[in-house]
Amino acid sequence: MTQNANILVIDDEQVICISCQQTLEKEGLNVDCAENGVIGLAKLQDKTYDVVLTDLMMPQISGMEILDAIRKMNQNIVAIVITGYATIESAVEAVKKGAYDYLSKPFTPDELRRVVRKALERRKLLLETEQLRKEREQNLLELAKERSQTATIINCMAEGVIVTNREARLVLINSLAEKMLHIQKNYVIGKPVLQLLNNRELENIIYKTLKVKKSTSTITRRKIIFDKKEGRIYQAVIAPISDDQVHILGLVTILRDISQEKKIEKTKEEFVHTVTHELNAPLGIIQGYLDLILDGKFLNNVDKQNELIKKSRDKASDLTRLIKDLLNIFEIEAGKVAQEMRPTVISTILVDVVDFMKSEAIRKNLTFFTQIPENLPQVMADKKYLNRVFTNLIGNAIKYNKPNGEIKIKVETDDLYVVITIADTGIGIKKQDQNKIFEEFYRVKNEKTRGTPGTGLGLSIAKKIIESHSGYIEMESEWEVGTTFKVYLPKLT
Amino acid sequence: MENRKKILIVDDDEASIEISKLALEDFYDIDAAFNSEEAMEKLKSGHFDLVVLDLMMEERDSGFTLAYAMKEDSALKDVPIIMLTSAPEKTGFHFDISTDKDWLKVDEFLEKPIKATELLANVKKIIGA
Repeated sequence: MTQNANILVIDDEQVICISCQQTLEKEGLNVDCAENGVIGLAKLQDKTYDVVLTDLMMPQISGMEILDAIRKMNQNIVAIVITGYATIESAVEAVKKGAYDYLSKPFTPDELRRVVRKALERRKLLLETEQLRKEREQNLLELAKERSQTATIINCMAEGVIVTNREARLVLINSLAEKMLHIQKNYVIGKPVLQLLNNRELENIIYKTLKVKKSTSTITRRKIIFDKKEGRIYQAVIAPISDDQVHILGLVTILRDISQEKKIEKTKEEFVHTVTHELNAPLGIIQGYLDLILDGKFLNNVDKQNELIKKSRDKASDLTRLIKDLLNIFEIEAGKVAQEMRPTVISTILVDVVDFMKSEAIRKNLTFFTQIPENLPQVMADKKYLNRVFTNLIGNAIKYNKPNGEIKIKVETDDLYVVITIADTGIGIKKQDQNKIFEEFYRVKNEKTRGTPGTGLGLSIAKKIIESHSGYIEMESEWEVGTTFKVYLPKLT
Repeated sequence: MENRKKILIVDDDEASIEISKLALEDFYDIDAAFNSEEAMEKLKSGHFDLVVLDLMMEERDSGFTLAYAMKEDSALKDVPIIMLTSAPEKTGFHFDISTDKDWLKVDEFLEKPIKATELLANVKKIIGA
């Protein structure tokens, strides 16, 4: 018999209590006795019993009431009734009230042992069942929790997710996939994906993937799909779901928005093409000039030959300048500017640049007007690069000025910025060119600019450098009147 | 030199024009235009026997524009065009006269850089000396 099981015997006949106790304790069971229902119930409150044997006929509290109490305790206690009236009625009623078995007085120790053994087996079974039920409940709870977690995660993913079964019916779709493919969810679950995903290419590849041979069922497919309406590009990755790497159960399709990557890729490609063109053009001209000389057309015209050689050399210089500017752009884009920032008074840089460019201005008979106050607040500046900015801006003011024109350089401060204004009285920039002049390689081409050398990179370099200083640049211009650039650099507080 | 043939060079790059001019000026009278608009004015006001046209000029002003405009003008549609192109380096696009003549409506393609002898030979081939 189950060792250490706890047995309670409730009977107002002391002899029955004692004989039960003696018989069962020999079997290794712990046996308590209660001489009436009140004591019996008290003991049931104090201790967990595996089996309770109770007399039916007792004063104060009857055996039937004990059975009710035991049932309400809901602890899988196995009850056995002891009755002096071995009538069918009382036994049936007791069983109805939850008794498992009964003993009729008088009973032998063997009968007692047999009934208690059966009761203990019952108890064991009940406890195991209870344990299983609890475990199952716990599992279900965890499963439910896990399901809602998974659903939440899938819905919050930054990728669109579509799951289809092996008949290509839609099993799951997350909100992003619905949005990407313009699908109304309410009507789609369980339906075949054909004409459902609003994208024929994607639907086709899902069907195709489901039709593959077993041996290739683990292959992942990729497809770029376009949303022409929204102008977006998605990469679809379609992977089979298989139980044993052999049978396809369905497909998981992940949609990733790659519009931004494609845009960057395209910009880079265009830049490379443009750079190639810009580098090739002067080389082509140099070759053209040299071919003319080598053709021997000007063997008797040394002046013409020298002129072409000089022009070739000038083009080569242009090329060198262009390469230098390009390297500069790469440097700036690699973040080199912010590395040498020091508190600087901007006038020191401006005075240097103006001094350096004065001779060039005098040659064109241009006049500088500078208005640079003392005690200017400092700015954080990379001297070398800011020098470059003002060389480019003042250089343009000289290059594109009219003969006998003026260049005004003024420094002011406002609440946040030190503002440097560089104004010329030059040819100006036509309206249609104004928003493009900061673009790389953009050069205004018209009868006034023809023959003026330049790489088309000066202003774009200036803008990049200023932005690396957390500042910004503004431009105002009127065709045939002049152009004004304003550079805003944040004041050091 | 009364009946020398006349050629219009259309290119937005001064040096390119100069090279074409030096290549051809021994045999032909040369005029130049820097853009399609200027070229059209010159073509309408005077007679030209051939146009040397740069494909890639400014934005919104490719050599195509002028070539098509010429082919739609009854007075200009028979003027031969030699198109100079630096398209491959900028677009990765190679034109071939044998396959693209129908839609490009030009008589010859020459890829930049301009080779003086090659340009002259092609002009001679089309309009003679």
